[in-house]
Amino acid sequence: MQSKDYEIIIGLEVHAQLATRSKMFCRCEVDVDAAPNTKVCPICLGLPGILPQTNDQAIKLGIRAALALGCSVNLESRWARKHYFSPDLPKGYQITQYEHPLATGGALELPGMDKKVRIRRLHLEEDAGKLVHSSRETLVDFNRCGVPLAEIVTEPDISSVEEADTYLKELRLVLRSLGVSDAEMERGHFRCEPNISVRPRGQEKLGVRSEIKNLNSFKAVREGIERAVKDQIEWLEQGEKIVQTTYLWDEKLRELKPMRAKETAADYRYFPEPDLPPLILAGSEIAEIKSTLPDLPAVKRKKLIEAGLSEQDAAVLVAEPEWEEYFKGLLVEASASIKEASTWLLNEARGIMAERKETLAEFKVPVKELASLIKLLRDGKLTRPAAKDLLAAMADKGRGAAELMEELDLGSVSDEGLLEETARKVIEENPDVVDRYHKGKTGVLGFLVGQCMKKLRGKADPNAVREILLKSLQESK
Amino acid sequence: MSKLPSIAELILLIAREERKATEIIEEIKGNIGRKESEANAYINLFLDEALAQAKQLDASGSKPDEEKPLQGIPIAIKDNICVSGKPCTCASRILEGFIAPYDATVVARLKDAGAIIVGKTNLDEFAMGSSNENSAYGPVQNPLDTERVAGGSSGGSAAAVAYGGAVAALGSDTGGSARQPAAFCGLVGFRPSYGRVSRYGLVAFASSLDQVCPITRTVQDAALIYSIIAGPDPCDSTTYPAEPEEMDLAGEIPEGIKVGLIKECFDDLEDERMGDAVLRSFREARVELVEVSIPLVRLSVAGYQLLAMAEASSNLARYDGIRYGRRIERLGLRETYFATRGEGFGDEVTRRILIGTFGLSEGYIDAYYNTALRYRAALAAEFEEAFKKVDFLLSPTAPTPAFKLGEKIRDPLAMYLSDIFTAPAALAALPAISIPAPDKVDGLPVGIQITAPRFADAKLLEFAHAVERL
Amino acid sequence: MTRGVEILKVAELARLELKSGERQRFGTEFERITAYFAQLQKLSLEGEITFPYPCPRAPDRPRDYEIKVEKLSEYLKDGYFKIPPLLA
Repeated sequence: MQSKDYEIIIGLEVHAQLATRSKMFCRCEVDVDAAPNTKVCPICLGLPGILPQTNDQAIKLGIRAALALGCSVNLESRWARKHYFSPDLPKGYQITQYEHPLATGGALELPGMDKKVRIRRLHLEEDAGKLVHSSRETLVDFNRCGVPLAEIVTEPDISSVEEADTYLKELRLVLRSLGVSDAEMERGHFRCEPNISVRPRGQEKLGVRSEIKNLNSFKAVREGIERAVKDQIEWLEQGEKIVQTTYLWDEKLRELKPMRAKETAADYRYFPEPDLPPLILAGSEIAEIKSTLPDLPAVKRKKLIEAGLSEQDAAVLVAEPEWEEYFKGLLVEASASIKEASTWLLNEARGIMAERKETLAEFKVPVKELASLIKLLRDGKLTRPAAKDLLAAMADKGRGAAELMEELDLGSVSDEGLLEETARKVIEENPDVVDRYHKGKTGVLGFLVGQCMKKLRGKADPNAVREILLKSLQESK
Repeated sequence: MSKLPSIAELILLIAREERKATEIIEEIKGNIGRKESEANAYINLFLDEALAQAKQLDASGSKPDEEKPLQGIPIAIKDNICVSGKPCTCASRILEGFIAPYDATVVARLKDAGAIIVGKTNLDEFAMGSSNENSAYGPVQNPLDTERVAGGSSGGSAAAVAYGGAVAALGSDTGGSARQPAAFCGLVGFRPSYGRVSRYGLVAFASSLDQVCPITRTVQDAALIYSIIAGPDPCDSTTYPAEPEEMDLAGEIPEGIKVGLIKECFDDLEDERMGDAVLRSFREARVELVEVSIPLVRLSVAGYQLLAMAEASSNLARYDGIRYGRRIERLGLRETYFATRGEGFGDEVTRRILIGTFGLSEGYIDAYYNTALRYRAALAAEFEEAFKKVDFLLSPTAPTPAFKLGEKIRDPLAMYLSDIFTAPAALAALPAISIPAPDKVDGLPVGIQITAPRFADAKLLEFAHAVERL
Repeated sequence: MTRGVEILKVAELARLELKSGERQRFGTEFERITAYFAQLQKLSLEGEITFPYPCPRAPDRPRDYEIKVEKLSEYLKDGYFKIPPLLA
């Protein structure tokens, strides 16, 4: 049998770090890069006698994300304790939400795939600390401990690696565009735990699940899921019994490692957190947050495409807030058209950045200067090729458009006398061509314009040259 | 035994310059010197520091006033309540070496009011016990009869106040841990409504039941301490958001007060003299007494212990030796966990963690923990019904006076059952107070327990104050 | 499941080392105490206790908390808490 004979069923759990300044249940600053154990207090260290205090902003961000994902936000949700022993979990339990999550029942549309993935629930919880392993000892840093997370769980609606990848990227985009999370995967702001099962097509009974932890890049997610699917199909083919297993993704070896049964035989003993009363929300608060939601990526993309952008360009702008901001800047500063802005930012500037291996943040041309380049071009003070050269020079030197144009002598010739003289010379030097022109072969005009441009070393507005040439030809008749 | 004045009396003495702060500390020091080696009420004493503070107060001539109502008043703190810079042992070996880096809210409030912290008192390990025999620092003896227990788990606080080692003390009460030792030592133990007093800095045993409680010589003193430590606290999300109401300790029982005797408590008494001791003064005061039945009280120990053990198993998961406290290091982490916790906890704590973990575990949570939650709600509903008929409910604080050291320690269930009258109010989140009855049984004090509706703390204190004076 | 097995399972969950004598003793008590608790199951009970007030929410304002880990533990290395290796 082939893989197409099997149905793949994937559910995803995503932990997204909420973009708050302080932690979920204490007011320690969120700064996981600080020196180890310097952003800690009695509460996040789980000292005797401490009690949690919820973070208002984390709750608001959770509501924001839930609404954007089309979930219904529950007017009453509750906190629960989830127990397990781990040196990075100071209290021996994690405060989370279990039977009564913040929000339930949403969906996310996968762009370009005509598919919706249902969201089962979104709940709030606290992160654990970090472990640093060596063969002889393990070191623990609690700076990350207590950082607020939203856990977003899908229904098992995903049926391929591509869908999983698209879902994750779109979810990340939604969270970033809302300001809910920085969602930087490599920095652990956005962690994904897939559960995967495979069954022969047509079989009703679900397959046995494999769960994967420790996937910290989109690439790892793809590879991990692919691997798990391949393994399961192989086992099914060979008639092996599949046991529900949790795997750890080994980033170095790029393979799945099964966790020991002892580590996975969990009994979390959930029970209501007695230190926190239920979270009661007012309908008016939810409505207010809803009214402040910005356009979601899907809507933004649609609007940009309607305005004339290609699907791909629209995707870039929506995927990268800095690009979108730059783009909008061009529209304002240069009164640029969507077309002008996309040409100069998404084609030309982006090409230069790619060549120079720069990000937009490193790109030395500020919005204002690219805008003035566009204006110079529009006013005929620059030719298109000269403008491209100028942009490259600006990116290199980090200097202003007008100033650099002058210095590099890239400006167009706009002296009418010089243009007329050039036209006259070209007419004199090409009597045959001029003759053919006068006999009605107006197509040769392009050649004559080209000759003029050559003499002017490309530094003139071809339209202006054309006009003067026409006038001179008229006179030479 | 040199009896110390009450806080209220001391305030007057200081105001009239008949007593200095240093003299009170010296007096306490003397009592401790004579009594402490037997009583074993304290785990840590800070007498030098207390004396230095008192000297400073005397030198500056500052006296208790409205801003500092407890200026110079020496108070003992149960050693499961954090005092910044001091060890907090919870009478457990697992917390050896731990120094609290912060003040519990109640301690901060007492310090702000001018109180001098004289020491940290002995208790049953993590407040789990009814006799103060489960302490890594040895049992507490009852100063009134050294062959008997002082009660538990706040046995050290009660003993210290009883022998004059402190003017008043803070204890904690999860299922009777302040009221019962107060009753055994002839003192007042007041458990406020759940949510009235911040638990921030009180080392959690059973979070939904724990409350910090004053243990004092008089109801007036309990009311004074309560008025200082009670009220909302941003550090404790379970504190009731409203400020406690004003109290008027006029000392008179208002007209028309109706008091209900909890039928089951009196019916089940093995020694009738206990019931008589509790009721005599009420009968003489011609307060209207009616019998009220709260049938679920009979199973209160089952409901209480089950919930408390479950919560304890969770609250004590943090003691792993990784960040603080005593670590028994082994080659691997797993082994270190088992050794640290296995050796760090005493028998009673181990027993409760085992049973509590069981009660929450997969396959059993419905039959145990969830059933106990429903029991709790049903019991609270029975109390609510009862309070439709009466203003206060009455029972003995404990079924017997102080029992003998060693009498129940080998039989955990028998020990648990000594909480049978105190557990109900804790489960129903109600305020309850134990005050000494005027009569003794076999020469030992008997506690009268009065319970009020939730958040009627002020009314309860006013009433108890009047009853105390009967 | 016999209570002996139960005790072992629960002790494993709670990370408590029990010596063989303790296992025996705790096992017997465990049985007696849980049987006493089981009386509650015979009552048909309903209802739920909830808080009479909602969860307060604190403003997201970071605050420095000067806590010295050196004062909490002697098992430290370069500011980290040091523990035996996870996979020994």
